[in-house]
Amino acid sequence: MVRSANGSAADSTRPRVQLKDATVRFKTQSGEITALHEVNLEILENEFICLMGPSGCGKTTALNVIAGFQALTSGQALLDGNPIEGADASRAVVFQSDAVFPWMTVAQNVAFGPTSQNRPKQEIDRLVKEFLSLTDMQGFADSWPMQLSGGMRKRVDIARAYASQPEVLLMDEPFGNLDFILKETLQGSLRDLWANVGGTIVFVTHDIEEAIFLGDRIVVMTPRPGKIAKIIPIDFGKVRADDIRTSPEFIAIRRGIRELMTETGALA
Amino acid sequence: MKSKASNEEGGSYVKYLGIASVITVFAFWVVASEDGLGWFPRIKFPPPTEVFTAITVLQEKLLVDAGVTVGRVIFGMVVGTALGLGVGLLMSFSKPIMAFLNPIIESMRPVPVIAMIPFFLMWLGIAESGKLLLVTLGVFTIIVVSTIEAIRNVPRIYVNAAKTLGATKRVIHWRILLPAITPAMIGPLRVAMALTFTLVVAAEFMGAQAGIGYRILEARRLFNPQVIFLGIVELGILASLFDYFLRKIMGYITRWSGRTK
Ligand SMILES: Nc1ncnc2c1ncn2[C@@H]1O[C@H](COP(=O)(O)OP(=O)(O)OP(=O)(O)O)[C@@H](O)[C@H]1O
Ligand SMILES: [Mg+2]
Repeated sequence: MVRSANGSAADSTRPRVQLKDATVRFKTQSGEITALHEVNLEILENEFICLMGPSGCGKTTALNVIAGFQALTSGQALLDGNPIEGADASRAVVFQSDAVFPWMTVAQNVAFGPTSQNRPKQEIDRLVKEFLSLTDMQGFADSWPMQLSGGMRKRVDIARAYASQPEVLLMDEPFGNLDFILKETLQGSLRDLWANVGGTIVFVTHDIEEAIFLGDRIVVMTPRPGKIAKIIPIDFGKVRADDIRTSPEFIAIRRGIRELMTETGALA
Repeated sequence: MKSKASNEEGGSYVKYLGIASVITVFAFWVVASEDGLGWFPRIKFPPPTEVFTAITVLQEKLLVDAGVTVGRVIFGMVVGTALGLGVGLLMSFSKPIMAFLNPIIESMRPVPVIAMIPFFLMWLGIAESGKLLLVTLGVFTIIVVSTIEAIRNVPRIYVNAAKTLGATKRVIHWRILLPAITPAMIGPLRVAMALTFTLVVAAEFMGAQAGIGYRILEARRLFNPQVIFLGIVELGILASLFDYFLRKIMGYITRWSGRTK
C-alpha cells in the first residue's frame, strides 16, 4: 500500500490489477461449471472497489484469482502489468471465515505480516500500535483471539492485513455473518481507515447497501456464469458519514442496482 | 479458560475422588496382605511393611535405578518427539519426501517395537545405545503418524492467510503448522509417554546393568518379591508424575485454545 507521511495517499489512475477475458471453469462430476466468463476489469491504484452479485456468481472465484489461489482457465490476470502466479505478500486477504491465528496474541497476529517480511523491529512495533489503534483494538494487544468476540476478531483480521502493507487488499464478505449494528460500525471504521491510510481494496459482498456505502465503484455481476453486468461509480466523497445511508441519492442508487439485478435475473 | 463453572459440575468433592481411589487401593493392599488379613502369602503378595523395608535396604540403588530409567524415558520422549515432529512436518510439506518415506514408515509401523529388542541386542549388545534407539523409535513412529494426520486437519485458510502475509515455507512450518497441531498432539504424546515406560522396562529386562526393569528382574532371580513390588510402585508413581507434567506443559503450550482441563 502506498502511504504518504500524513497518511493520505495521492489518487491515481494507474491500473493496479487487470483482468483480461478472465475465465474460470471448474470440472465437476456433473460436468463443467463456468464460474467466471470473460471478465474484463481494471482496478485502479488507491481505489475502493466493491464486487457484488448473487450467491454463486463467482465473486470468491474472482478474488481467489487476484489473490493467486486460483489459476485462470483462459485469459489474463495482471498485477502492475505482471501475470499473477501464486499468493504472496503483495495481496493480503481478509477471508470470510475466521482466519485470525488462535495461537498468537492479537499483537502477534498483527505483527505476523511485517515479521514474516523481515521488517526491522521498531517498524513492526510501530505498525502494530498504529493499526491496533486505528481498528480500536489497542486495549487487547495481549489477548488471545478466543477471548474476543467475532466482530473484534474481524477487526484484528483487518488490522493484520493492513499492517502487512500489501499493494492490494482483498476482502471476501468480511462482515458477512455479523449482526447489522456491528456491520455498520465496522463498515464505518473500514471506510475511515481507508480514507486515512489509503490503498487498493477489492471488497466482495452480496449486500447492496454495504457495497454502496463502501465502494468508489461497484462492479455488479450477473448470476452464473459470472459476467460483469455493469460498473457503477459512487460519488459520496472520500470520508463518509453514517447518515448517507438514508439519503435520497443512496436510495436511488440502491433502487437502480435492484432494477439492474432484476434485469439480469439475479432478483426475481 | 479460567471459568470453572463448565468443568467442575458435580461440586468440590470431585477432586477428592482421585485421592480416595489411591487410598482404596492402598487399603486393599494392607488388608489382603499378611499385614492385614493375610489373604495372600507374602511370597506372592508382599505386605507394605516389607516393601518399605526394601526401600531402606536398597537405599541409593533405588535412586540410581530410578534415575537411569527416567533418563532413558526422557531421552526417548525428547528425541523421538523432535524427530517425529520434524519428519512429519517435512513429509507434509514435500510430496517427494512423503512419497519416499511413507512406505518405509508404513511398513515399519505395524511391527511391535518390542519384537525388535533381540535385533537391537544382536547389533548393539546391552549397550546403552540399543535401549535409547528402541525407545526413540517407539516414540517416533507414534509421533510421526500423528503429526501427519494432525497437519491434514489444519484448516487450509491459516496456511493461505500466512502466504498472503508473506510467510515463507519455513515460517509456515514453525509459526503456523507446528502451533496449530499442538492440541491434537496431546493425546499421541501421552500415549507415547506410556509406551516409553513400557519399552524402557522391556529393554531393561533384556539386558542392562541398572534401571528399574533390571532391578525387578534381578529381584525375581534373588527371590525378593518385595523388591519386585517396590519396582512396580516406583514405575507407577514415576509414570503418573510424568504424565502429570506432560499435561501441565501441554496445557501451558495450548493455553490459547480454551480446551477444557
Ligand atoms: N473448487 C470448486 N470446484 C467446483 N466448483 C466450484 C469451485 N469453487 C467454486 N465453484 C463453483 O463456481 C461458482 C462460483 O463460486 P464462488 O464461490 O466464486 O461464488 P460466490 O459468488 O463467491 O458466492 P457466495 O456469495 O455464495 O460466496 C459456484 O457455482 C460454485 O459452485
Ligand atoms: Mg463467496
